[in-house]
Amino acid sequence: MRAAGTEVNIVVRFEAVSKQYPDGTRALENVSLAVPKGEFCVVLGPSGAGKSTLLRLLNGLAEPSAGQLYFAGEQVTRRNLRSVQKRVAMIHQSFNLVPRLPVLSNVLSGMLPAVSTPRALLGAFPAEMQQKACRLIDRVGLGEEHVYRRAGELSGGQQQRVGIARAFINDPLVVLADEPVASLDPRMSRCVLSLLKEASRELGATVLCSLHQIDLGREFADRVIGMHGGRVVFDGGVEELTDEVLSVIYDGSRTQSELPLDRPYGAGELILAACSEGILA
Amino acid sequence: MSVQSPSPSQPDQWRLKPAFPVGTLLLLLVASMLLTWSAHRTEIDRMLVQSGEAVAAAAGFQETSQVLKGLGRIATDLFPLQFSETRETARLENFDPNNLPPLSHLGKKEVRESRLNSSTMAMEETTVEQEVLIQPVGYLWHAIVLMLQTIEIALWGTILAVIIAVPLAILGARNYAPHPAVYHASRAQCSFLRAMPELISALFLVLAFGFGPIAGVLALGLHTAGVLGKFFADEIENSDPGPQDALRSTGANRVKVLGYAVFPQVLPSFLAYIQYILERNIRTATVIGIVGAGGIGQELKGRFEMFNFSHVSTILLVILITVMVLEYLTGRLRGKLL
Repeated sequence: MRAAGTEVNIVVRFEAVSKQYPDGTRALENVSLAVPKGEFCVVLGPSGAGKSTLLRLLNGLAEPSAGQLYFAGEQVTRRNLRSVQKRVAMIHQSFNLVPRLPVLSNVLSGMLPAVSTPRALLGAFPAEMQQKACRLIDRVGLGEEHVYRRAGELSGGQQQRVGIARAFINDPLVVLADEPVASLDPRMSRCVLSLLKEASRELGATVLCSLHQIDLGREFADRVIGMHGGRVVFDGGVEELTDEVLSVIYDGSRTQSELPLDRPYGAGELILAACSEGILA
Repeated sequence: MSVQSPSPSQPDQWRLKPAFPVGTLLLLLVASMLLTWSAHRTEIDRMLVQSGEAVAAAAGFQETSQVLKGLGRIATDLFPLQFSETRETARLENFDPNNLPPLSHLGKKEVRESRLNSSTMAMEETTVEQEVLIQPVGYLWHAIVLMLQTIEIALWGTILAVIIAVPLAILGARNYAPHPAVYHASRAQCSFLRAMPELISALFLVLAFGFGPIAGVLALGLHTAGVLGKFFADEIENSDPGPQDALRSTGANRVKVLGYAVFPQVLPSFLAYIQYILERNIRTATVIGIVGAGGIGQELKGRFEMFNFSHVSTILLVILITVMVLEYLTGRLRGKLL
């Protein structure tokens, strides 16, 4: 891992990033934060807080309007976006599997950039990739009988397991999970999240996971980033996630100056800004 | 908390729209005037009068009707259907009486010939007995073989259409066109191909390639390539963007995303379109034969112009049964594909 700047272990760094969509929606405003390697970072916030946009900026599904984005020490630009994309994987809220393709092909499709176009179109993935895919399918709790089942025939929980296998097949440095359990029942949600956490730990991946269930966030996060109205309004450990903080995140009920900015954070050394505007500029 | 009403007046005083506004009534009036004028130009009035007469005549209220007479004449000419074929053995090439074609037998036929007697210089009528080969279902078989050729023309027309349409569709799908200019060019090409009626293009292609199936295959293929190109492109544009985003964000190139996230998704509807086009091409192939583009249509036109109406009715029967069987088969197939 190449590193630039001071922190060697920082994998993802947002510096004063803003995002305005063409329709005028300001999804992110002046967001700065840094995520160290191996952290399971949960992004909490109400709908429209900018959680998805934050994640989608990293793999090129959205482009920042202002500010800089660093991945493994390199600034993310249009030119090196593809090489960044190969090291970032994403798990989607609606799974985004190809329903008519079998589970195996869906998992292997995470490896598409690693094979030549003709091989990819013929589905002729090298044997070791297929073995790796099978090991991952086994790891996420599916069996041999699922390998050739169409992804669309599986239950929601099983589909998201396939999504996790697809995300991890390319040995990603960072896994972005955009509300990975939003369409699952609570028990299955817990299952899928613990699978995600274990897998990221085993394979040494950093996870940025947006959630809207506070209890799940409490249970799984190493660090919580709270967002409201496109700004980061909280950044700290799970133990600091008090009711007051939650009301700031979900209702935006308090002004920014009242935020407990001076308190020590678990991961707080790395915070560039908890409440971004004007504080660190 | 009181609910704010957008209108300050009482509900009794709200202005409601009339059921038949003046504008709508005027529009209806103008439309019916235009239709009346157009009906006279297209002889709708005469059609109504004559069909009325025909119904009255059929019911016995009237002596006769022009339409009924015409229909009756055609009906008597069309029947009985001509299934058999009788040919003089003397005119057959490589005829071997010991090795007859299947389902055939030899017969005798008396033919009256008038001949000039050179000694008396008078015309004499003589009866000559000819040996003929009788094939009881010979003509029916001939029609079926021609129908098969028609189906083959339609099949290759459809294959040609798919080969042309798939690249056109990819270039003409807004989300995969390499450049807006390419998108517009591809869409324009599709509309141009669609706008050329195959009967007209077949006329010209017959001039270029001569009578026969080539003109038929090309005419069908080019026209339906435009239809399929549009359908395919719309289908690609409307396919679920989720899986495409997921693969694109891993760094996969467009071709791979197309192959993995788009084509598996659109395949069932592509197959449904292709199957519909094939069915339609078979129906159209029977018609474009009339301008000389091969198949059963060419035979139909020839027999029609020779006033062999019993042959014509055999051909029509074969076409009718083929189209019906086809619709049944493709209907079952459609259910299996999806």
